[in-house]
Amino acid sequence: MRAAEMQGDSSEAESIDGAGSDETARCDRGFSWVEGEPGSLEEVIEAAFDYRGDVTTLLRDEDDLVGYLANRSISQQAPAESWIEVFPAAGGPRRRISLAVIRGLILSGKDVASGKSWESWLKKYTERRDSLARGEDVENIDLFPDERD
Amino acid sequence: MWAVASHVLKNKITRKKRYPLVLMLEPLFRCNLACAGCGKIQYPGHILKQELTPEQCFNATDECGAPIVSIPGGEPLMYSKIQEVVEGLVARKKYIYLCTNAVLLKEKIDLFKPTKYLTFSIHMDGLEEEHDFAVCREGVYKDALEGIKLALSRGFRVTTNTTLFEGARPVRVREFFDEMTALGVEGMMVSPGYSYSKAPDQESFLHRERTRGLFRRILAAPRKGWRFNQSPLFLEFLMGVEGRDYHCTPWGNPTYNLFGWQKPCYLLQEGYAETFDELMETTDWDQYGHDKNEKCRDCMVHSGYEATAVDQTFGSLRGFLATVRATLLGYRWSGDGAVENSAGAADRDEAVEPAAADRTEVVSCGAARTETKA
Repeated sequence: MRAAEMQGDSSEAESIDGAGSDETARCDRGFSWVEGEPGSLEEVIEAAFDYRGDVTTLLRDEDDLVGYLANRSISQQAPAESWIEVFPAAGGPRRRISLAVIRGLILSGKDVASGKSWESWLKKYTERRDSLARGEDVENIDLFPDERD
Repeated sequence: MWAVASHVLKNKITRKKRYPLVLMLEPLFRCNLACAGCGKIQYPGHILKQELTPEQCFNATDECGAPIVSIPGGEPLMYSKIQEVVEGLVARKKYIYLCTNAVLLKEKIDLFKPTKYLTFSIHMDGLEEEHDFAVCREGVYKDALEGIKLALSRGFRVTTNTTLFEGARPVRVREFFDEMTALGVEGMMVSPGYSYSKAPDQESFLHRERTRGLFRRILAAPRKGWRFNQSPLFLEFLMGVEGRDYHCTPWGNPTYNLFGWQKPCYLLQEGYAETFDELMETTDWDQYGHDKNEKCRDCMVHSGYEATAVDQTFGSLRGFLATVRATLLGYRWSGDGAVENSAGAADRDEAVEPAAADRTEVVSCGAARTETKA
């Protein structure tokens, strides 16, 4: 999915709990921008800042960097001073990377915020409560944190 | 109280316009619960594994200078250095609110020593049914209750913190306050939740007018013995009492975590500063407030408004007298049109009904990333 196509398309949103995606226009896994494509690096950076999954930063003179984009500073007045901060998924300290050395960015990791809707929880809870009232056997629906990598 | 008062007065005397009251120190995002209303745990695994070092915690505390340090998270009892950080903060004479769901309290309590500087602030969103529903797991209320009893029996200071959402039933909340009071907690904290983009629970957050209505029904005709560990003027603000139409003080509770100093507040997440000074100097504070910013429109959360109430207390003789009056006689819940008839409604089992036309819009990507319910 290219930067210019992002608005309102949630077709690729992941469903962690199988309950369907949130009803929101969001930037999904796979959203990207690479030099020469429509859109802009700044646009995909803002999307990445709002994204709760890892991104892949395509760099000019070194290997691509996979990690969590935690912060950014975009200056229209001084583009050379613009940067992003990434916590590498492979470990090590956070890296501050100048936009000048970035040739593309991809929302590549699983969006861990996707699919965990209140509606999903409420639906499960209500169904279980109704089943209990009917005297039926019910399964445990308790929620637990995702297992970490 | 004295620590806060002297801190505020010192800043007033030096004519400092913006100063913090409570440092929100988040040493980790990891949690042992997966509440549907919480966005804090929504990070990739490698981020959830990371923690602040004690040195980072102490540097942030020293930089900020707030007399109170609140340690939320994540779940702070899962933080590997919690003992060292608490001891270091006590040595600095900081008043610590360790905000925990108490699931691990029995296992970890021996790490701590009772002191006036340390309070366990136990997350309790209501009675058993409501709390277990809110945290999406059965049995957590019972664990928390055991934790409260254990901590009290060991001589620790214990308070509760409660976030209320759409559908909260005043009569049940009042029963919950009765139960906590009977347990002997030192005080209770209560706040409306805040809607934010990455919280999965967008429908159940309260909006401004309904927030006032809910709190009027809950807090009117307070029962004898209820003790709140917050400014009485803030409680009056929640009830919509005349003269309490506050503006937010976003710098009052600055937040420091793995990513840095969070801009602009505990709830909104629009970027990070490397230092506290940078946070204070580079944030455009005038952009924020319920009448200035769509993201702030419905917010009445204590992390933004309690500092305003405290500032009013020490900012004028009228504010000071109002606080003295409320402290001695209890907060104002009647005496003007805004709260009349509340007492009668308080004990009826009425949920605050959602208004279909007034739902929070779910913001799209590119909008502010925002944080957990307070």
